Amino acid sequence: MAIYLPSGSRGRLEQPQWATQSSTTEKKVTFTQRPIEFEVIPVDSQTTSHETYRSAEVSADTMSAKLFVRLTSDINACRQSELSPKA
Amino acid sequence: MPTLMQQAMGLLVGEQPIKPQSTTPKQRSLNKLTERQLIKLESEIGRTIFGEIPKGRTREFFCLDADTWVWHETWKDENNKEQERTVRYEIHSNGILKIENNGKNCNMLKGEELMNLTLAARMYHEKVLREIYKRDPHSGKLLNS
Repeated sequence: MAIYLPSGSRGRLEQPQWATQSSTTEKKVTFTQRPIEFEVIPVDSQTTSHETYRSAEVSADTMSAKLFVRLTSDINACRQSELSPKA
Repeated sequence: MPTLMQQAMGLLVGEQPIKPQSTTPKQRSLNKLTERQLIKLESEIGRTIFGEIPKGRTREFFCLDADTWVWHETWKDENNKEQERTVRYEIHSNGILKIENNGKNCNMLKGEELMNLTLAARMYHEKVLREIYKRDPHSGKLLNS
């Protein structure tokens, strides 16, 4: 399973024991198991502020549901294009 | 007099179902087909996705609209009594809701069941776009005939 950090993110992963790679430059992180929670901490930040991503945002269920919605939308778009009056 | 199946399909898609057509989807022109007829064509493909239908059963599986999918099966029990099962899958902002028994049983899909439904939708999407709408499922562009 892989996730992508937000565009423009300059961060590192904390507690990456379940990740196969962690880097300050690579934005792709591959997990060896389903992530429970991870944090992205800006490397140049002197504060403790950080973004937290929870499993709900990257879970297989969420990805399945998003794919299902996209497929449904595609099918309906094709159907509607057949029903719309032809020029 | 409409059969139970016809009544059920009427409830699902609005009116009495259209009569089955003898040609394959590839041979049909989509001109002048209504939305209901297109759904019926799609269901001809949808019902094949889950494998062979046992003798004596009917099955429909189709995308009803932008928010709803329907699974419908009929069969006869050991007493030769007609049985049916209808499942509706509704898209909500927080996931896919599975509805059975006229709304008495509702639950959000998750795990393997959600993955299986998504896989079925993916196969349906692939086949319906190619075979009915003559479009490339990845780009959405019309296929060259």
